[in-house]
Amino acid sequence: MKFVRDYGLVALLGVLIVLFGLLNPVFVSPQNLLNILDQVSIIGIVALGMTLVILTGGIDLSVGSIVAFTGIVLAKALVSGFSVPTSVILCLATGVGLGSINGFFVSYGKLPSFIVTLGLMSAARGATLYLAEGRSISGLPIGLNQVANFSVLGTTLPALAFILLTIVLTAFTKFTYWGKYIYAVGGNERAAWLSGIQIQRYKMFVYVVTGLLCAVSAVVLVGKLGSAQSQAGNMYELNAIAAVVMGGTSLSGGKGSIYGTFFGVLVLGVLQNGFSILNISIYYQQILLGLIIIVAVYLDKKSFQAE
Amino acid sequence: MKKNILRTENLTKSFGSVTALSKADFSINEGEIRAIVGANGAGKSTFAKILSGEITPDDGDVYLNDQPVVFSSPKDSLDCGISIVPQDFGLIESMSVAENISLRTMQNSLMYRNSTSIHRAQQIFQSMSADINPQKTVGELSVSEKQLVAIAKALNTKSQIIIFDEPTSVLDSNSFAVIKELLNNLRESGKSIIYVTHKLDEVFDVADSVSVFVHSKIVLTSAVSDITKEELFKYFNIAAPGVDQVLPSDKSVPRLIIRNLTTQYLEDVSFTVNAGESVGVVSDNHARSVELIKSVFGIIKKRSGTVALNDRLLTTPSVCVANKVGFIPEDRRHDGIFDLFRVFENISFLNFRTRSRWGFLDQASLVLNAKQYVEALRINCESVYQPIRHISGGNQQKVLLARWMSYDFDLLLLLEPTAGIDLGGKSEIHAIILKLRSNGKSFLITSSDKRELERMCDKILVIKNGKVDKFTTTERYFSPN
Repeated sequence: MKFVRDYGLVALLGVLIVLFGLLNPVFVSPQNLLNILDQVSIIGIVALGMTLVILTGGIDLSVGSIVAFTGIVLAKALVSGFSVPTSVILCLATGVGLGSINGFFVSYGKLPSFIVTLGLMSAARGATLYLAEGRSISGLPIGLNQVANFSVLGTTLPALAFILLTIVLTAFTKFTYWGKYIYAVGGNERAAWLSGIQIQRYKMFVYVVTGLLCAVSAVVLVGKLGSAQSQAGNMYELNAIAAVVMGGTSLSGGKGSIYGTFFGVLVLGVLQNGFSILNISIYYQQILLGLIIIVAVYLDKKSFQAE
Repeated sequence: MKKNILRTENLTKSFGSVTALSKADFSINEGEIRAIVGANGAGKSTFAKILSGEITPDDGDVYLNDQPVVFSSPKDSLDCGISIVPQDFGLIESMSVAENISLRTMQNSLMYRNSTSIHRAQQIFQSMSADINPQKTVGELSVSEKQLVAIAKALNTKSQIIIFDEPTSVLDSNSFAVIKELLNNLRESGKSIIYVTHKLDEVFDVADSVSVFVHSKIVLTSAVSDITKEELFKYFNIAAPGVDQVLPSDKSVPRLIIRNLTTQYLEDVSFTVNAGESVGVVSDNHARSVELIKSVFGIIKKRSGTVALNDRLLTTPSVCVANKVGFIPEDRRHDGIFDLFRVFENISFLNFRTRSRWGFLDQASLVLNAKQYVEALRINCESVYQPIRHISGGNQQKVLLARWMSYDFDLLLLLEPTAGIDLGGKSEIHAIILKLRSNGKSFLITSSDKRELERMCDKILVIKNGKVDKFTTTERYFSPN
């Protein structure tokens, strides 16, 4: 069972790639595979943050709205004449700010993360629609778009950023005491507190990082599209949670890994890309996504019982 | 004259209308082992938790090396060099032994090195002469191993003062020897130890001095050499209800029949428990006794074999309960009581269905039922409406007994019936069980306290290497010649 949990996902990824490849050889062309990596980078970056939150035993439902709001902030800044670096910094700071709101109420306010982030999910979406007057903001300077589609080492900058962030955060969770304390808080909050750990600090931290990563994701999204949509980031929370649980992170906290999420994101991307290449309706994808979450959590519970 | 290290003045704490600790003046020197004794609910744990920063006092002061200190969280207390080994260990089950031990100290450098933690854990285990693999996950350990890990974790903080909150309540006597040696070593290195216990033997075995808590006050502090066990004993409220004359009931009626029971760790276990009989299970590895009882209740998977009560097969907990088989777990706080429910709801829990009208709970009847048991078993609570988490462990255990009694059980499976319960509570619970047995109830019990089994059981089942080694009468087991 442990084997299935550790390597099952990689095996599933392989099976899916072979399967889609047999059904349509275009799918396995190097160009398409790199394309997948590029496509998943946006949701992937969000999912990395979500992993940290779930490791502490929390959940962040507001990620999609934060992506949308920070995206609009970025676009607004750009069209108001701010330079690209200034606008990006403004966007990232907004992400940190929204993450801090979540973090503050969850850690110091001791509120359930589900409620706090559900609230922010609605509030940030509302603010997005208000700022953008319900429309999208386009006519952005070309610079950002070039960066987002800049290709390096055969892939794009966003894909590279996703890989790099995966490596950095994996190292962070495995080899720093901050990472260990995130696991400890999720594993047994009371025991962590009794061990003298300032649990609020670490809970706050994961929401702030997630807010920041959502903003990074928004930069990529806006850059790619050349515009900011007020409906952007829709269902990101579900996609991100699906990737995290598929990657073997337990929703009850304390167990899981960043690199697991990386593979979870790839599976999602392969499914999405494969479905569109095979001309399968996007509606099926959503049905499948819901089922994946349930099955993944079920398998996690089973493997936990088996131990 | 040894130097005073820690002193408290007037320490007071109330929870609602209940005073948990009243005006505690306390002082301990360097290199002193101070035992803290007292009945359940006498304030020992509250005192320990205030010193460890888990609870903030309402009033009073703490002085460390004559400097006033305020602990608003466990971190503050640890920073001042005070560690506690909590009664429930305070370990993170999903993390490794090494990670748990280094949890507090790993923040000294940003980078975490697993090899350093493992090495550190090995060193500490060596000094404790304990043999535990630091790479194991804590969740896989036995209770007594967890206890040792919790102690190792406290040692790793290099604290000047270490509080042990009832460390031996889950340990057998071998492990006590380990702890005793450890305490002596710590004393020699100048550490101060606060040793909370309810086992009077241990006081005379390890401590230099003793403070006695009665009704949330410290009523006596004395050097151990200046006091006798009898004098200490007086402070315990040993109000055992009168044990009725035990009438020999017809013990030849088999009630529980276990045939060829095989699980992951048990092999081919067969035995019978008769009506009105209690059988104790002992094993070379205590976990096997627990496994046996849990597999009877259907919590642990059976690979083969049958468990039957009055000719009905017992498979799952719900089938067991339907057939009047009760179960009291070793971890009553997590697996036994419903800690958000009140006392009467906990007692009458199994009567919800029978004591309802048109599907609505008949609260008056549930309360009445609970009140009878509160009185009969002398459950010490303010009222049956009190939340159960506010009453002491011994009284919670009585509530669990009352729950099964009001369900009129035939067979009760008991794991560690009096773990973590003081002498007075212990003898009361023993008396209740003996009385129930004389009324024809059957028991299957395991306890790490062998004297408890000697007192309560008719027969002893001995498991060795997962197989039945002996099944004999209690007299023959305890005095073979």
